[in-house]
Amino acid sequence: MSGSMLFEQILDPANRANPYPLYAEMRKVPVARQEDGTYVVSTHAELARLISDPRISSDDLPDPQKFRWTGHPVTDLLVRPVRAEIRKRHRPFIFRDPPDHDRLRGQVMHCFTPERVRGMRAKTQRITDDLIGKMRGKSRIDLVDDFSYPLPVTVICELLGVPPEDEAQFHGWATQLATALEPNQRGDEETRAKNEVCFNEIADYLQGLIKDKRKDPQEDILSDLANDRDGMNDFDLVATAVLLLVAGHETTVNLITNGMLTLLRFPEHGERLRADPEIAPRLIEELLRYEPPVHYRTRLALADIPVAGITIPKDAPVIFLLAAANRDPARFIDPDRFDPDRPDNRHLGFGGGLHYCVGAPLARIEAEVALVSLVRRLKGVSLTEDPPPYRPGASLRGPRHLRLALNGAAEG
Amino acid sequence: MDAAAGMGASGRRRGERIPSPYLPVSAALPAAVSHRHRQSESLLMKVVVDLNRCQAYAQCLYAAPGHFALHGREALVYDPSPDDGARGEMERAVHACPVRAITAYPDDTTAGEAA
Amino acid sequence: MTRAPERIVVVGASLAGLAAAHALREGGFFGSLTLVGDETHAPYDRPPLSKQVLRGLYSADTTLPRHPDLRATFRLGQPATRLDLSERAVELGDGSRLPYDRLLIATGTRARPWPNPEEAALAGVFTLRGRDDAQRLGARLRGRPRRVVLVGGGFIGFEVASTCRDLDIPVTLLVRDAVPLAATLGPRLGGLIGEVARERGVDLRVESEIEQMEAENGRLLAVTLKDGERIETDCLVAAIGTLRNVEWLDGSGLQADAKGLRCDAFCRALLHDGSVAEGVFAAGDVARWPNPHDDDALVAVEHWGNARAQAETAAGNMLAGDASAMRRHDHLPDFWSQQFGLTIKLVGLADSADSFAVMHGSFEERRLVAAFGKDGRTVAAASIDSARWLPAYKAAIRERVPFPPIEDAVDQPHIRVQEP
Repeated sequence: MSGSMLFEQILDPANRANPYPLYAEMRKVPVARQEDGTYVVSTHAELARLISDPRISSDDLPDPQKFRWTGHPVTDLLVRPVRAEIRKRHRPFIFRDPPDHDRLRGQVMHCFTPERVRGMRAKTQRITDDLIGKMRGKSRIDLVDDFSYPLPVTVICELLGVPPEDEAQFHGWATQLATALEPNQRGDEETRAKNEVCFNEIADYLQGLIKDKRKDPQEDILSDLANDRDGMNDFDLVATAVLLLVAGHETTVNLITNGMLTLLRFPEHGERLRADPEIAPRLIEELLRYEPPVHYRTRLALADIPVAGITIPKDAPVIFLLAAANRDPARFIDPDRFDPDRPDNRHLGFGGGLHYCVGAPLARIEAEVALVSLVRRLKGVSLTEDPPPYRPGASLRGPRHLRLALNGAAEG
Repeated sequence: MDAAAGMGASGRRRGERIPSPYLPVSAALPAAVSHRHRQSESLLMKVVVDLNRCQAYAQCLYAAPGHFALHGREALVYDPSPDDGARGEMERAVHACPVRAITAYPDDTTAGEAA
Repeated sequence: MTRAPERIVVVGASLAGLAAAHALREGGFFGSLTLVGDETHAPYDRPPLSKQVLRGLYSADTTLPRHPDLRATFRLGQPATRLDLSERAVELGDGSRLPYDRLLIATGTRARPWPNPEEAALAGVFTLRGRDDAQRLGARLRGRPRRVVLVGGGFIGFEVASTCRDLDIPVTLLVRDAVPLAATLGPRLGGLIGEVARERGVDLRVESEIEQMEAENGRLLAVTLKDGERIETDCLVAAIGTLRNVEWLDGSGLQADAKGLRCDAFCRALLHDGSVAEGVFAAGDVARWPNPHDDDALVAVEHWGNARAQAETAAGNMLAGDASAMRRHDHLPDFWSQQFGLTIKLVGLADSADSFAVMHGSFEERRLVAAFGKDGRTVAAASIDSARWLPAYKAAIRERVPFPPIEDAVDQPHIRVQEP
């Protein structure tokens, strides 16, 4: 298979469990033109440079597709076109450029204070303790369904102010909408249709919730955003809320699951974390490098960009293959070695530049609490299958199930 | 962070606290700790931040809010000499910085000195 | 020179000296390592002194972090007084001699003293270069003087003025030039910063100098400007520049003068005849070297970033067997200043630029990236609160792309090329 179709192989679910040899192949050409005109950036130096380049745009979502006629004139001629147009103009800030991006992200950051985020540590520990408590006496668990999924869901819903009784509904919506963040799935027609339905449902729900929070503001992010006099309009508010909810669900799950998978593959590191939880910060950064939750993101070139001896032409789609850059031997000594003591670990697991992950501080807290508690309390734990079955996404990558054998869980 | 009067040409009031995209903006500055009396000088850390490299990702603020603050959108100020009790937080701050701008070591001003 | 060194002496125990010490150990040097410093303090960081330390935020102790395995001998409070190149030894103030296989000169700069020694000795007249200065001035500021008069239109002057305003202290800033900071940032940006300072309540006077000081019982009472105006003040801060600490090299044979200690692209110190002084290197504020980003024009900067980077280059080269294994010092000058809530950064040198363009943001917003050109290529870029765009401009400068460097980018105004 020629290099110009290498990325297709990366997208192939057959390679989900171990894409790293393909990444190594990809890195041979730092900025590689694919057959379809996309440029894939896979080396650290080039990626770090381009992720901060002002000629790179994040406003790269395809136009919302034409909807299907329902037969109801008001719906078909008025409501849906308006909604489609609104959605196009009010995409969440992850898909926007400055100045809109800066304005929206700034409003979110204003609520996402260190105090608030750190305040979630105790709650995260409590949820973790409960979930692990349920594993007592068990000899089999699925880490994803029993832990890595419920934990971030509960945390983000609490932070945003979604009532606990509505969380289950979000499970379905979030799973579906995650495909909107998953570049290789959102182009698919069926997926887009499903997403449109889903988005409308979630938008209706959130409109209701926003109304409640304007009437009766609580101590949560949605209340803050909804009641900000100079804040964003309702369309942006809904788009932002959806983004935060979906991003808060789909990525942290994978950080925790990928993390536990790695610690079980290299039990000496799990043991070390158990004995010395103070290494958690460096271990988590190494996980973000070695087995990150997000493998690639897409962009668009607004102008010709000279890089690595070639020129990315104006209007070319660009792929930032973050997980490949994280294993670049030109930047990381012995890159395929999981080494929490690695110095100067400037990985791209949370991206970089303008769009650096908003939720990073929260993700770190959740990962630290989760992994430290898991290695401490799960007894005699081992993998029952390796590799585990993976979710379909090539970008938001992680196991769909992580089935473990264990001797129950110790007291908290 | 002090608001100043005056209208800019673009209509935006100069000094108006425009939310920065990158920082959670603590309007309150940390309390002056000008005359911290420590019982002993031996339980400290020493910290320096490469402010050329810093791009105000503010991950350090989340990791150790008592020891890092932003004055304005990007102006990081920090505690160069935190108590040893802040070691866990400082470890988090060092490793959370996406550009690895923070260096921190336990202080021992006699450390590394040969006879 | 080809024998591996066993004894390394670093004269200058500040940022560059300490950085070199770390780099030497990391580079595999296991021999004797001695750092000599004229101050009694362990190496400490200076930038916070004009900001949070003066304000009384956090600790005043900016001692630089030191690796536990550094294994260096510190001779503090001991100025180096003489260099004997033929004997390969440094003499200290107490008369002792330090022989070396390799020597790094990193003696940096000191604050230029107030030209009138009687006035300089008055209570109420301050400089700000070191820890002790910062301590004294900080204490005075917290005593809330009625008005501070700052002399000097450089970055230190502006940062101290900003700190005074943070403390709600009235401050008059006297700048000799018509536009402040113009030498570094160009007149347009310099003028913008002056505007910001005024908005924040600084009484900024350009083309203004002190004629004389008025005192009583050894205490400053007022100053009279050259235009005759009298300003009452009991706190004057002189931030009138720096002097390079090269006097101790007089008679050594090294090419050192007020402009700095001349070294080559590998940080090797040069003799008067231009040849290399064997085993002697220079780094930091004291050094003057050919800048590869400016066709090897000689440059000397007082930048934190260069002190560290040059110390690392010099350290690596001190351990290299011969010149073929040495690395050129190709650090792109970079510095920052925090004032009035703004973070100003500059990469490259703008002082000889002939063109200027705002690439992102605007003067009105007080948030921008501006690029500087010289002879058609991009030589520098400045950021005000826009640091995340700088890496792209840094790359453009390194690659000497035509000016203006980046167009058709996100969030760009119409690019208008002007004079700096």
